[in-house]
Amino acid sequence: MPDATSADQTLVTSTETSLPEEVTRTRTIDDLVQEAGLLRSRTRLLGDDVADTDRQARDLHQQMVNRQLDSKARRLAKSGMSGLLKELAECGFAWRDIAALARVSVPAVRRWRQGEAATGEHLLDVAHVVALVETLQDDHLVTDVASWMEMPLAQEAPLTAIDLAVAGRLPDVVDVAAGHAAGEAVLDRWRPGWREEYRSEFEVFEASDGQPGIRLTAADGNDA
Amino acid sequence: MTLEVWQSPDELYVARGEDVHALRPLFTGDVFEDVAIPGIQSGGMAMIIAHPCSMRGQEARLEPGVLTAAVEPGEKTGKSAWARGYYGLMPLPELTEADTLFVARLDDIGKAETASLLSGTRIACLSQRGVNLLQQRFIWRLTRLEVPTHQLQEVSVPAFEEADLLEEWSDVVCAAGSAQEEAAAEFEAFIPADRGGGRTLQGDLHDPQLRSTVRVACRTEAKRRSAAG
Repeated sequence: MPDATSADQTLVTSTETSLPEEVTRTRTIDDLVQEAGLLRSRTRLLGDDVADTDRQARDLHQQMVNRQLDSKARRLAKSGMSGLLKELAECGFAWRDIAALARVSVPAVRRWRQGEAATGEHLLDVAHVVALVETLQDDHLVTDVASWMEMPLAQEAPLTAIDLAVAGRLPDVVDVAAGHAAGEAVLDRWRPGWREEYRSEFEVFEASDGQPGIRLTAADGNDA
Repeated sequence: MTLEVWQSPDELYVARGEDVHALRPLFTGDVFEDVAIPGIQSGGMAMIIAHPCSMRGQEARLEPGVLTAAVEPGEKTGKSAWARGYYGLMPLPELTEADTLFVARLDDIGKAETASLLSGTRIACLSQRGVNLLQQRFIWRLTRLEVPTHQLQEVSVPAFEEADLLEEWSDVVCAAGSAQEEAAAEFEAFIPADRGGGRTLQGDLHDPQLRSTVRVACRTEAKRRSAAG
């Protein structure tokens, strides 16, 4: 049976839905199987088109987010290293995380806190972190950014938005905060195989002294 | 069986050499220049391998002795070899300088005097990652049980955080003239204090959602005490 929409059955160029073909004869089961199969092919191709458009939109959005963060960082850098560090400290960030985000050692951050001059590159790195904090607070209503960034992105792994940011994926952090992407989806893009990487036969539990401990997870999911 | 290894030596240490902060509390993974370990060595390098909780007794006071392992120069070994062997050793690449390797001997252990550690020269402090790798190797050596480092991290985070906070607190309070012991004692009284309903800042460190709030509270209090002189 010829296709009323297009001779090329692999081409889907719009979401237009064709009217049901006028039935001029009783269709056989073979006809119906073919039609249903064609419908599935169209749906799949349409889905591929949508996914591709979504990828392009995400790439464009992330490029723009990066530019926005760059612009904010250049403005924020004017306040100097001590001002930037003070802002991050008041948010409750650990110096260890600030050091990782700025790609320096913890002692280097301590020296900055004590007034040692930082290079322009490091100043801009720290300003980017503050720019990210500002974006999350102002544009995405994250009230406690440090706390939010320390929460695992997915239940099955301890990876956090801080880990994402340390890896330089600031737009991904914004994506999660904006609700454009789930933590799991971002982890799939960043570290395919993360679920296997963090799968474990152990679990952390609260021991009788009130402190955390590690034990084997029972096969039935109950306490070991 | 594959134990985890480091990507870059830098990730193993929070500080080395002159970068080691004198006000940092004693902690697992600290390496000292010259330590006597009874029955093991009369002097030489050593690393603390005790768990942070077992080093301290009531009111967080350090025990008189701390479990340490002898440290000595090691033979150059490829990084991947550490994942599948040498389980009795904790590799310490670039501990003192580039292209060098020291090892902590996990079978040569004993309690060193805490006083001698406190008065000795600390030449390195392991990072959280470094401590986790050390613990994973030590557990495997003792029990043949392979525990993922991310779960060791989950268990140790409150202790890591508390050590960082004490270091920062001491930095601020001592700059205003307090002695280190006095600053530490103030911190150890402040952080477990009941803030209502049995809730404490120390307890809040167990919850990732609350850690930033604990840091802010400690920083604010340290500044207040520092300003009050």
